[in-house]
Amino acid sequence: MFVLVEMVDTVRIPPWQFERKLNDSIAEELNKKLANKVMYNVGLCICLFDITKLEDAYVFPGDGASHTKVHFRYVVFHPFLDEILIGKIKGCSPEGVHVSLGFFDDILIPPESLQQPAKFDEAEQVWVWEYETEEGAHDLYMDTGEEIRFRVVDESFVDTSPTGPSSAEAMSSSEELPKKEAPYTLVGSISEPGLGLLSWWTSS
Amino acid sequence: SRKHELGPACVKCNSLKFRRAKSTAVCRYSGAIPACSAAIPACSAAIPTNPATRIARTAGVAAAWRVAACLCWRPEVTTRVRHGSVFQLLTDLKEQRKESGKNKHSSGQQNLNTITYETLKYISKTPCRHQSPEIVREFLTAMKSHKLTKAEKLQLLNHRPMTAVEIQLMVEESEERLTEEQIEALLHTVTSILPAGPEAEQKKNTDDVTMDEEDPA
Repeated sequence: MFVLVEMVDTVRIPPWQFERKLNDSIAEELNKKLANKVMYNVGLCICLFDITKLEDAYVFPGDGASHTKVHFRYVVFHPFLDEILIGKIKGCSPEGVHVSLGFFDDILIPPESLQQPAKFDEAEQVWVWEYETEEGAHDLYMDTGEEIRFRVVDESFVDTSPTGPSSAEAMSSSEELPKKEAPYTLVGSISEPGLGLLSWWTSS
Repeated sequence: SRKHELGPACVKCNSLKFRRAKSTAVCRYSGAIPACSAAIPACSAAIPTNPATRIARTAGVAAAWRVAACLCWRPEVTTRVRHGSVFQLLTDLKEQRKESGKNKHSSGQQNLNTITYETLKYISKTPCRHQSPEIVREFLTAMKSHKLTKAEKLQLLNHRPMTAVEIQLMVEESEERLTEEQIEALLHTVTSILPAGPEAEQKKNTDDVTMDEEDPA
């Protein structure tokens, strides 16, 4: 679920950091810029893996800082489609089951991708798998905090970069609803044998 | 059982899903490459330089298309990494930062601290934290005989499956590609080479406890 992504960036090092090793300052600057951020169509950046190439550094007129073009590799969270992941249930809602990996929260398993037949318990706000056996149906609850194994079936990136005010109308509507959209969401599925809460499939 | 002909694996990620995507020529693993399928006419025009593809072209439209789609695949920009190596990297980073202490330069690194802490916490719970490069090498050598794709081997490493149903999840079309004996052999290799995770150790302890409790009864 982690990938190494090769990137190139120009890093600005302010003069008061010249006493340090260039590689250390660059690593720090890159981590400051990228760590814990979602890059559009790339994934959630975790930390710097290594620096593969440093080009010549330049000092521009009017600015004492050095500018260095850096080729580096970054560890990025970006599971491939159909990958199996294990997470914890963060909560249930009529939209489906929300799953968290700890460092990444925007995972949704929609109702149609749950083990069927499934129903939403309004009173307890929890999804239930009505598992049928010869002795009758068992209700398997998907409680918050349980570990769950799921398959990644879809991903979507939303460009959340700020945009200028397009019109007065749009302004007023956005003021009413300051909806915060997740920049990167995964859609999961557990509609296969072996998927779902880990406790469902252990032999004991 | 019906015979199933496996098509060529995707050049980029070695996945077999490629074969299934009949209409789009997009490998499901390495991501959608719509430009690729759209560019096929241009591709086949360029094909004659390659003798192998020329043969494929005469063999039928489908074959030509398959090879063409592979030829215009973009160069690799991403590499998948194991949980184990990420874990190693993050622990090293943590140590390094601890050594350098709270110097004046480490301000503005809250983002890095948050993400490395959470990621480490996540990976510590998986069986990958004890995987050394030697173990991984041994595992991959043992896996050669099983004819699995890279993505499948990576998932086996990351999850260390202990039941047949988990193998069926991680290996594509496992019913057609693997017999029951082969799955058993695979499970044996996985559990014998890869060290158990923290959950298993805990489970063992709780099992002991429950057994102790049951004994007097």
